[in-house]
Amino acid sequence: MIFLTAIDKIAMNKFDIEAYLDGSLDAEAREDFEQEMRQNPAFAQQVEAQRKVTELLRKQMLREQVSSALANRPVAKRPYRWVVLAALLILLAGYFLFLRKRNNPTPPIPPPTNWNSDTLQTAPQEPTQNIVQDSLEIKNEKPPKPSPIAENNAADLPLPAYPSPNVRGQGADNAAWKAMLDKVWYTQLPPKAAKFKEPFPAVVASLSKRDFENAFVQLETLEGTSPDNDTLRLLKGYCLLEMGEGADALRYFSKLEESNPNWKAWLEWHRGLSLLSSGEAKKAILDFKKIANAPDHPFRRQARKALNVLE
Amino acid sequence: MTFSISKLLKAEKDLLADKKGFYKALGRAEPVAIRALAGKLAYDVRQATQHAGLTAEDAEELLNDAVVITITNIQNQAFQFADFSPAAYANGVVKKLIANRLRTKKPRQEALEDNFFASDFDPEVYLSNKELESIMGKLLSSLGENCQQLLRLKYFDNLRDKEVVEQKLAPYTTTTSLKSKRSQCLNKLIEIAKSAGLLDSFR
Repeated sequence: MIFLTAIDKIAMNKFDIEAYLDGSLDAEAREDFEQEMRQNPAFAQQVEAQRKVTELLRKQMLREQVSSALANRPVAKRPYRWVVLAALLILLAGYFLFLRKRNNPTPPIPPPTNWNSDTLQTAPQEPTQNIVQDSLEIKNEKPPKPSPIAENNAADLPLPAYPSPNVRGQGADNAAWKAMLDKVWYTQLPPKAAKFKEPFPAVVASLSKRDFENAFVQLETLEGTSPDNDTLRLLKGYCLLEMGEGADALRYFSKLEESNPNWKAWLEWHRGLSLLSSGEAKKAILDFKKIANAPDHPFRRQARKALNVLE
Repeated sequence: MTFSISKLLKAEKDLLADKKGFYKALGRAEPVAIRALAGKLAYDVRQATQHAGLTAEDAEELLNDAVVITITNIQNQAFQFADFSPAAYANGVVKKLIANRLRTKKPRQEALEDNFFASDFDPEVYLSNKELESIMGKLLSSLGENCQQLLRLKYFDNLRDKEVVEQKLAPYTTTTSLKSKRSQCLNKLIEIAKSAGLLDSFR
């Protein structure tokens, strides 16, 4: 092993190894660089080490990318296997039903008297908070449990609970974009470990009811007195995001994790959605890739789904 | 080719129909292109590995390796675009990899591996470097998230420093500070790799 002297270190600072390996040095600088390598074996060894490490890095990152892309690949199998399997399942199910009916004969059920075709249609999902409040009147109905998206471990991610905000303009392109956003719009309030003290609970209540206009007015009022408050910036960013103002949301989300590290994962995901909402799909993909490649990221599955949908 | 492409997504189908577009998308390591290539190879790989007495796990590993090698060779121009699909090249890679596996069990089988495609690729060098890459992945994860992200933006996403700063993809406001931090990360990685003796075995 060759040990680096102070002179070698000066050479390394003077010469841009990265630029040399990239091939971005001009002819003269390149000639100087190569001359230094000929004269200084320790420097030449350092250049070679950097070349090897960056090559290994590139390959390893490519390998990760391939594994990640193939993780959700639909497996192509011969169709007849599926047909046979499906037929077997139908036969088994039929046999099971036959046995059950023979062992437990039940009287025919009369049709419901107030049945109408609307009951077959999927009712639009109401915001959870509304359902909780309405449950005071509809006493026999249990309010659905709010399930934190990020902690859902089911094999298939359910569709987002709420649609994405409306996209400006009309036409097939916008409709397609909106449909795509609807598939990945896994917004979440509040972020894990966020605590809202006065005067924010009222704003959070409005946001939870998805009354974004009202929340926006409340936030604007509060912003007049404390514009740099982190909680305010987080809530306003979220509010703007849900109102379809991704670019403005990004401004409010910026640098919040520096003073609130617990919000980092939440911010990364919602920043990605903000970019997507503002039409910056390429940048959003970069953010989603980063999340998808982070093994313990709470929004990893959402990011993977977003990447699948976007690509 | 007995594999039906009916199960592939439309984007993958479109890509497969456009050989040049497919080649370029693979060069950029786009997930859709990766999936399209793997989908196109999957059936043949399974058949060939079964025929060679290899396991399903071997087939999966071979498939991943063939995709990685094909992309690498596109990126370093060892495989240049010609009027055949990259899938044909990847098929050649698969055959070479299988032949290499079999060589460890049986005497050399010329018939399996002498094909026109992928003639420039040496499976033994690839497999030896593959282990080093895996170790490098572990060393990289020991550096912390910021370093990983900086190195990824440069060496995988191939973004320029100016783009990284402008798009706020890293917490640095100037290209100088970004480059300086990345250089620190890389030097740290080089030192760890050197002390682990990793670079001596790299071919």
